[in-house]
Amino acid sequence: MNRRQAQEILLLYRPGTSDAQDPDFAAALALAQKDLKLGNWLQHQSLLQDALRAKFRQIPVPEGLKEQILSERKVQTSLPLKRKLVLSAACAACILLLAALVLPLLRSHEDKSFANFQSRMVKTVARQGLYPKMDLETNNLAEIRKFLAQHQGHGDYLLPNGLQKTTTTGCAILPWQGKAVSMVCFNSGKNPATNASDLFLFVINRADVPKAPAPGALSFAQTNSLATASWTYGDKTYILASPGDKAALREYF
Amino acid sequence: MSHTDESAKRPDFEGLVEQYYRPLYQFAFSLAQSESDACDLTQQTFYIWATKGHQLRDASKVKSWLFTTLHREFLESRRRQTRFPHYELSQVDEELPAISPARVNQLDSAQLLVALQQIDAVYHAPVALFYLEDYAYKEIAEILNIPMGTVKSRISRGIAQLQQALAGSPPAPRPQKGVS
Repeated sequence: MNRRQAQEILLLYRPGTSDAQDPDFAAALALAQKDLKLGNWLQHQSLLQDALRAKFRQIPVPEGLKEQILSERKVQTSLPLKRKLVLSAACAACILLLAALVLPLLRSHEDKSFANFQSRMVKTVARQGLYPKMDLETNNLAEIRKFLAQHQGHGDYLLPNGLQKTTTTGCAILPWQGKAVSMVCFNSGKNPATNASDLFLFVINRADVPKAPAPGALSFAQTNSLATASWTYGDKTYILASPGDKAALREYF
Repeated sequence: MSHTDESAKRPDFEGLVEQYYRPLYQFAFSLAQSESDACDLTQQTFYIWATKGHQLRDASKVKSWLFTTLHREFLESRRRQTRFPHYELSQVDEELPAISPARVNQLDSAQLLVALQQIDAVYHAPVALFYLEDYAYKEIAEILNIPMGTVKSRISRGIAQLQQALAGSPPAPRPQKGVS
């Protein structure tokens, strides 16, 4: 074994792990003890690898991720198998599409932009389907407002005219980047055979989402099978999401 | 050992999330290089565990199972976007750049991300597992479902590319001190 070969082997050496038991590493380490230049190189490389290892392990994890995983687990366990499979397919399709959309973008580790907020809420709907986990299930809008107000949500949200003609099914408070998001669910009544939720309104403080839509602007978007409308009114920013196309969503405004 | 005993060793879902969501997210972020996609991959991994995890008989393999599943989900999500080239590398054929540990210590996460984006995609997973987890190379090979020799060559090549990228990136801005 020459110095060059030893360097190639020792590039993969991790002190303090089972690597030392590998015969290749042992031979290269033995050479490094005899070869001063190789020994110095190994010392430098080990320090460098330690620094890189520390950087990887310092990659920040978004606030609320654990809570979101745990909250979605509760939904998953209550769904029948067929629906789980349908949701899995929808979720996989959503991941593919969103990955294609966001790949060109270089994001910071704490992306608190409106675009990221919208993306996360759309995925929440895609993942949870028509039977999301709710903190309160009721068709009483007043109860929903009261509940949200009492639990650090947004009880004073304002509904578009069209949405006031639908039936509420419940609400939940979701974490996003350490901020509270109120989710109010509705049944449009378009499918009399089901009382599932098919309209999802997300409310967040405008100050919590940089680059939110300007007041007075109404923006529509289509993500796979989900349409969204977003707008800002007063100190709040809203996203309305629903399975279907954008045209169907326009009737609520 | 009875089935009941095996079940007793199996961690509950919440405990599993608590223990592994952070390294899984970091692995996912190293692969996908976006917070949104990394969150999705992490959540999808635990979703699959919730639905299929009971099929895993050996509770000691839970961690490997989670990393394997996350990697598989990542590959699936990228399947139509790119085909990873499968070629072997017998050696690191470029000299490693001169880069100091102190220089690496100055980096912030965004700069690490930029450097990661400059290395070939096929090296992302082995390099991330190399740095994030102290897995034996055999375990990394099992997680990535590639031969151990390929794992080693990809890590070597990936490390070389990463160090090249870091050597070429500008140093992080340092706090300004008063003019003396």
